[in-house]
Amino acid sequence: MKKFEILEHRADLKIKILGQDLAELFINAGLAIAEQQSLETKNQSLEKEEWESVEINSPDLNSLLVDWLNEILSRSDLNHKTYFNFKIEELSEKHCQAKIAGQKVNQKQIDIKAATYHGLEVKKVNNRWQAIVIFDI
Amino acid sequence: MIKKELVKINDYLWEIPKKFRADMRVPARIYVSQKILELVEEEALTQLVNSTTLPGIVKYALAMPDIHSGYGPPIGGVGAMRLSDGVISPGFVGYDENCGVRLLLSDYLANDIKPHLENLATEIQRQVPSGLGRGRQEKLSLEQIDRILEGGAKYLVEKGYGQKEDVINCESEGRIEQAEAAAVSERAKNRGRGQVGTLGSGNHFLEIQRVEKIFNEEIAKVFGLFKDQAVIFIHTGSRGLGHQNCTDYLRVMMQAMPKYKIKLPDKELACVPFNSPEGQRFFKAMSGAANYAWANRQMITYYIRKAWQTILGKGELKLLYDVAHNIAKIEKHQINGQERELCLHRKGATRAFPPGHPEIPKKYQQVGQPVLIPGSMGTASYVLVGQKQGQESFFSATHGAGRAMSRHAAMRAVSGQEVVRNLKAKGILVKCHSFRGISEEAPLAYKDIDEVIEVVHQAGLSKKVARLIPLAVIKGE
Repeated sequence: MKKFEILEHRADLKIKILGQDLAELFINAGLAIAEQQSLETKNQSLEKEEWESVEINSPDLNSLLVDWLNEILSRSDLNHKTYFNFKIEELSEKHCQAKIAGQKVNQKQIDIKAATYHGLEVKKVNNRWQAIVIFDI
Repeated sequence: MIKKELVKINDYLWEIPKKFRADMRVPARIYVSQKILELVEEEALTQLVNSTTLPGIVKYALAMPDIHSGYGPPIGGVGAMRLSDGVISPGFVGYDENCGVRLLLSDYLANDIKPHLENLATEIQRQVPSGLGRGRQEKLSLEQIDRILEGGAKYLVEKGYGQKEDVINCESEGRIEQAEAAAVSERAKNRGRGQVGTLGSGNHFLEIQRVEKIFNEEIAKVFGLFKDQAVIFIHTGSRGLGHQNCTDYLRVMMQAMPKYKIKLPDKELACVPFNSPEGQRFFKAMSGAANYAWANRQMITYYIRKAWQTILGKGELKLLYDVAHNIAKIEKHQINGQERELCLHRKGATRAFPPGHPEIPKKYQQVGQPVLIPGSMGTASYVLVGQKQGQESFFSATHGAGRAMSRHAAMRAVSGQEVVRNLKAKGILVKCHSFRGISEEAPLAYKDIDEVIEVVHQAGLSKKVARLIPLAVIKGE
C-alpha cells in the first residue's frame, strides 16, 4: 500500500498521507517528511539507535497531526537529523506519545519550514485513514 | 469563479467587491495586468477574499502582481489592520519572519571580476553555508541569541561585524525596538544558535550580478549604482528560529481565538487583537525574529566581504539597502485624510516608502526608499524607488516574480542538471548543494519578472531605477 503521495501545489509541498489506522497514518506522515528531506534514508539501518520521546497534546485530531509533524521538523532542524523510525506508544484524537529515531545527515535536500493547517483534512475513507497536508517550503 | 467577478479599476488594478461574499469586511484589490491575471490561480483569489475577513482590516486586502497561493493569505498579500480594534496574524507574516533582501554595491566593473568569478563564487559558497547540513561551526550561546533578538543587525555591527553605514542603510536600522527576547521560546532560540550567517534553501540565494540597465540616472547616482557595476544580492530570512516562532504562536492564537470570538474561514489566518496580551507577546516575539533575520543578513554580508577580500584583495562592498518582505509592522498612513497607526502585514510584499518619508535613511530622503526585487534564479532582479502614488497600496510593492508552476511540475519539466547547463550557456555560473532545489526554482517555474515589474512601475507602486542580471548564483554548501 502506498504510504503517501505528492500532490500538485503552486508554491509549497502538498502531500496525501495514507494509513490503515491512525498510528500508521502518523508514522507514514513522519516518513513523508524524511523522504523529502533526505535521499539517504532509504535502505538504511539504524546502527546507533537513539530513541527520543515525544509527547503531544492538542485540542483536536487535525491539530495533533500538525503538531506531531512540526515537532519532527523542529527536532530535525535542531539536531541536524532526519527521523525515519517511529514507534507510536499511545494515540488518541488529542494525545500522542511516541518514540522517534533518526540519523545525522550531511545535507538535507530541502528545508521544510512547517506543516500548515491550510486545506488540512484528516478523515477515514473506505476504512483507511487519509490526511492531506500542505508544508511550507 | 472569483475571476469572473473582478471589476477592472484600470489596466493594472482589479477589485473583488465587498458584496462578493457575506463575510468580507472590505473589498479586495489586486495589482495585475490582463496577461498576469490569466496566470493567477482561483485558490490565490480565494485566499485574498479570506484575508478581507480579518477584524479591523482597513480599506482593502491587497495583492501584488506576484500573487500566488500560499496558506492563509496569498503570497504577495498586504493587509493593514487598525491598532485600536484590529488584529495581528502570524500567518499573515509567514513562517519565514522577515524574509528579505539586501544589495551590496562594489566599486568594480563586472568585466574586471569575471576572471575571478569562479573563485569568488566558490569562496562565498564556502563562507556562507546553506545551513541544511551541520550549520555553522560556531554555535552562539543563548545569551548571544537574546542580544541578537533585541539588538538585530545593530548589535552585530557594534560587535565588529560591519560598518556604521550597514545600520543606517537598513530598514528600521536593522532593529525593531519593541522586540523582547523573553517572548521567544527556548526551542526557537536553540534552533537559531547555529544559523546566524546561513542561507537556507528554497528560493533563498546569493547572486553576483551586473547592473545591466539604468532607467533613472539621477536616482541611480543617489543609490550609488552605475552601468556594468558588479553587485551582490542576498535573499534570506530568520531561518529555523523564525519558523519555530511562527509555529509556536499559531498554536497560541488558535487556542485564544474563541476567547475573542474570532471566526475565520482558514485556520492559517489565526489572529488575536493587536492590543491583547497574546497579540502583544507575538508582536514582541516576531520583532525579535525580524531582528534575528537582519542579523543573519548582516553576518552573511560580513562573510561575503571576507570572501571578496580573500579573492580580489581590495575593494569595498557597501550596503545600498536591506528590506523585509514578510513582516508585521506599526506604520502611520493617511486614511480618509487622517493619519492612523496601523499594523501593516506584508506577506511576500516589499515596503516602498516615498520621498520625504521619515522612516527612510537621510541620504534617500529626496528620492525615496530603494525597493529591491529579486527575480527567479538566473533571471533579472530590479532596483526601484518608492513613490507618493504608492499610498493606495500602503506603500507596498511586489517581492519577486511569483511562481507560475508548481515545484512538482517544474521538476517534471526540467532536471536540475539541465537548468545548470542552460544557465551556463547564458554565461551564468551556478553553485548549488542540491539539483532538486535547482529544478524546483528553474526560471520556467516563475512568471516573467520584466512583466511583473512593468505592472509595479505602471501602477505607480514604485519606479524602475535599474535592472540587474546574474553572473553567478550561489545556493550555499
